[in-house]
Parts: sequence; structure tokens; C-alpha cells
Amino acid sequence: MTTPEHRAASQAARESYGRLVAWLASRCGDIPLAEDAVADALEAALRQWPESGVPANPEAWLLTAARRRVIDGQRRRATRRAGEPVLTQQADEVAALRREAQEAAAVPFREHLPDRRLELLFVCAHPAIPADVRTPLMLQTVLGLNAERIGSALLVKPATMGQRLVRAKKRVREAGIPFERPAPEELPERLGYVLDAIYAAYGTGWEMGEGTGLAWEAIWLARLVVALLPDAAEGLGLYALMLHCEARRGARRDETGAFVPLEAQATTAWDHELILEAEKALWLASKRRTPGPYQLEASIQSIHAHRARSGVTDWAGVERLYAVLAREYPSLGATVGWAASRGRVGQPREGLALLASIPAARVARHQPYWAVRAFLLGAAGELAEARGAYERAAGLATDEAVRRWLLAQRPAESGEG
Amino acid sequence: MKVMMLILETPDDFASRDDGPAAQEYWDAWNSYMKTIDDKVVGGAVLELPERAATIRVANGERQIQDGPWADSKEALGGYIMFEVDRFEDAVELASTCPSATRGGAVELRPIRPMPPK
Repeated sequence: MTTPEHRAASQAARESYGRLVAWLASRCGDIPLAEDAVADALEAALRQWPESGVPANPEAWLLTAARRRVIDGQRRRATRRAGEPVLTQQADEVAALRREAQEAAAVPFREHLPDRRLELLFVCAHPAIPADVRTPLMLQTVLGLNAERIGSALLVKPATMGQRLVRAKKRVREAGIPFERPAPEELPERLGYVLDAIYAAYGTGWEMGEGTGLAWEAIWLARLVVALLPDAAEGLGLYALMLHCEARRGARRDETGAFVPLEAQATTAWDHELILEAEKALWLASKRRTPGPYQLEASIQSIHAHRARSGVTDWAGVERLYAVLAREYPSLGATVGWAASRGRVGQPREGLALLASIPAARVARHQPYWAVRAFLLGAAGELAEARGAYERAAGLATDEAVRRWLLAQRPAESGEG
Repeated sequence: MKVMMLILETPDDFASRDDGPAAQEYWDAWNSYMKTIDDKVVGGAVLELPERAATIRVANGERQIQDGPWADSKEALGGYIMFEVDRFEDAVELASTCPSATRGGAVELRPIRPMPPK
């Protein structure tokens, strides 16, 4: 369905869109104004280019058109305020606009257009922005996705998602969140917020096929972070983690469309180019000597990928890494992963004890928890309980193939066989 | 708040309700789903097949009774579930794993309008 030409075109549009929005927003501090201006410019381009031909430097053309619209927009706002008594403020604004217009005119070409997308990512994942709107904000401002696409992936009604985005952008302007890279002492924590927001996008629709979730959008954003902040080990770690997972997407279905779990996948069905890129990123990360949770998670996936060469999975190694992850960087996912790996090394009861340490309210609708619990109960010989847990996991599945697989794993009801 | 989930099923889904192996899969999916939502459900029902519906209209003093459901569309109402949730978004999450939504049909969510006190 997506031809290479189509992909190249959308890649170029995405590249231009984010660069233009980031640069304009960093100048005027007003994300909606920058977005509208770029959208108008793209629309004008689609109208004019078929007749006049594509300009030699399309991005410079878009920038000029978008810049004109930003200045128009600011002038309109200044005029609206003309009735207000604060005349000095208005004069300041007009002077600022004139300065802006002069500076803008002096930046004609892309080579001179500073890439402010990283700064925009830091704005989107700023602590003053509510955590649940950071991912949507990035997807919209940097990639240009609409509220319907974002809402569908994140399970929010599009109208509600649209309102949240409007509020968040207003907050950026009103709180005066600066478009700048954090100071070195703040960087690890602030980058953590950016990476968490990117990974949240990756997790959407993971169970389902390509096209449902935002996996490639997340990988694209991580690649951007790696390119603009090459010394950040955790950025590389997240990039490696997502590539490793993505490399196995095709292997998660057999020819009949049935679900295939990781340990049963044919390694020939994995995307070895993506695995190679993941291993390279992880190796570069390790050279920075600043460990972190994403590098640990990527290392676990690296062990799984190694089965392609060795033919076996080093479950003891997986279990050791999960133990470190769960102790050093506790999270629901780390505990569940550790519990599952205890089951793989013949300690299902220890795994169940780990699961029992999680408050019930946190896992009531957490599908991986129920799938792991079912597996551990089965391995421990608690067949009736395992049956119930498999059903619970199946009930939380969003993909029919996964649901069918989980229901097929149920041990037979006792007394029937 | 209360949110009503209208379950819009496909002809395939209606057919599989009473069809041997397909029925096993249909009811397994529904039973496993119901287990995950039971603490949020305050009401609901499974409706018989759309063929058993009657639609009644009275206009300009004329009465018209028609066999079948009110709308002639691919999906038909197969049942409903009433949720009690804190936010509408919670209902969206509960709906996203509903078998009708994942098996080619759809579900529609509507908040229940509180009636004014008498």
C-alpha cells in the first residue's frame, strides 16, 4: 500500500513540517500560530506547485510563506489589543514584530534554518505539561498528526483529545516555557520525560498490526533524539529497545494469522537489518558509560535476538537483567517481566510472589500481568487458577489472534478429562 | 457517571452465536471479556436476533409496523451494557477490548443524561 515514493514524500513532508513548526514556535512562543502558519503554507504549496512547478528549494518556499502568516497573525493580535489601554505594550509588540520580520527575512535557506525540534520536544515533555498530554503534544507539533489519529491510538475521544491539546499549547504560551535545551545538571531528568513520552507512543497498539499504533512515529522521534543528542546513552538505549521489538513484528503471526509468542518465533522471520541497527545503537550507548533503564531493557531484547545465532535463549541472563532493572528502576513492567523470567528459570512460585507484591488496583486491567500470572500458575501446577487467569488475560486482549491464543493455552477443566 | 455501550454486531457474529465451534469461540470471547468488566457493569442484556425485531411508526394518523430493526445497516444492535465509571475515558478503555469491536463489528458509547429531580 505504501510505495517507496509515497514513503519518501511523507518522510520529506514530516521532516519539513516539524522543522518549520519548531523554528517558528521557538521564535513566537505560540505553537498553534506556528502550526496554522505551516499548515496554510503546505496547503498553498499543494495549490500552487502543480501549476507553477515545484520550487528549487521547496522548504525555503514553505518557510517564507509560513513566516508571512505568522507575522500576519501576530499583527492581527496586536490590532485586536489596540483598544486596550496598555499602549506601551502594543508599541513594544509592533517593534518586536518588525524585528522579527527583519530577522526572518535574513534566514532564507534551510542550511541557515536552525533545527529547533529537540527544543520543541523538551517543551512538549516539560514538567509544567501534564504527563498524559506530553505524548500527544509531541505527535502533533513535531509530526503533524491529527487529534483523531492520536486519540484512536491513545484511547481518547478525538474531540476530547483536541481540547487537551489546545489547553496544553495555551499553557506553553502562558507559562512562558522556554524553547531551550535544559542545563547539563537537569538534562538526564528532562530527557527522561522526553523518552518516556516517546516510549508511550511506541506501546500503543503493540498487540495489533502495523498501522494501528504509533510504533514508527515513536521510532522516528527516537531517531531524531539520537541525531540531535548523540551523547545521550538513554536515547540510544530507547532507540535500540524499540528497534529490537519492531524487528519481530512480522514473526508474531504465522501464515494463518495466528499469534506466535516470542519463544516460538522462527528467527528467520525476524528483520535482521533492524536487529543490526539496534545492536549498533546499544553498543554506542554502552560506550557512554551512563547506564539506565532503557539500555537495560534493550539488553534484555538483545539476549532474545541472540537466539538467531545460538539457537537457545539465555533465560538466566534475561532473569539477571530483569532483577537489576526491577531493583534499580522499579516499574510495573519491570516487576511483571522479572516475574515471567523467574518462571522461565524454573522458579514459578518466586515469580508469583513477585506479582503478589503489586497492589491489585494497578493490575486489574493490565493485560501482561494476567498473561504472566496465567503462565506462572500453569507452571506451578495450579491449573484451575491458571485457567481463570488465562481467561482474564484473553478478556483484556485488543487483538483477536492474541485472544484466541490465550484461550487455547487454558489447561483443561479438572474432572472433565 | 453512567455510560451506555450499544453493541453493534455483524451478521457473522449473530450467526456464530448458535453454530457449534464458532459458538464456542464467540461465547469464550464474551465470557472472558465480561470477567474483566464485571465491577463496572450496572446493567445490560443480550438481544435476540434482529430478524425478531419489529419497528413501529405512527405518522399522520397512519400506523406502520415493519419487520426487522429500524435501520438497514451492516451491523445491528445485539445487546447493551451499562457502565458506571468515573470518566467517559474509562468507558472508552472498557469498550476497546469488547469482542464486538475487535471482531469486525462496533460499539457505540453514550453518556446517560441524568434526569432532573421530580
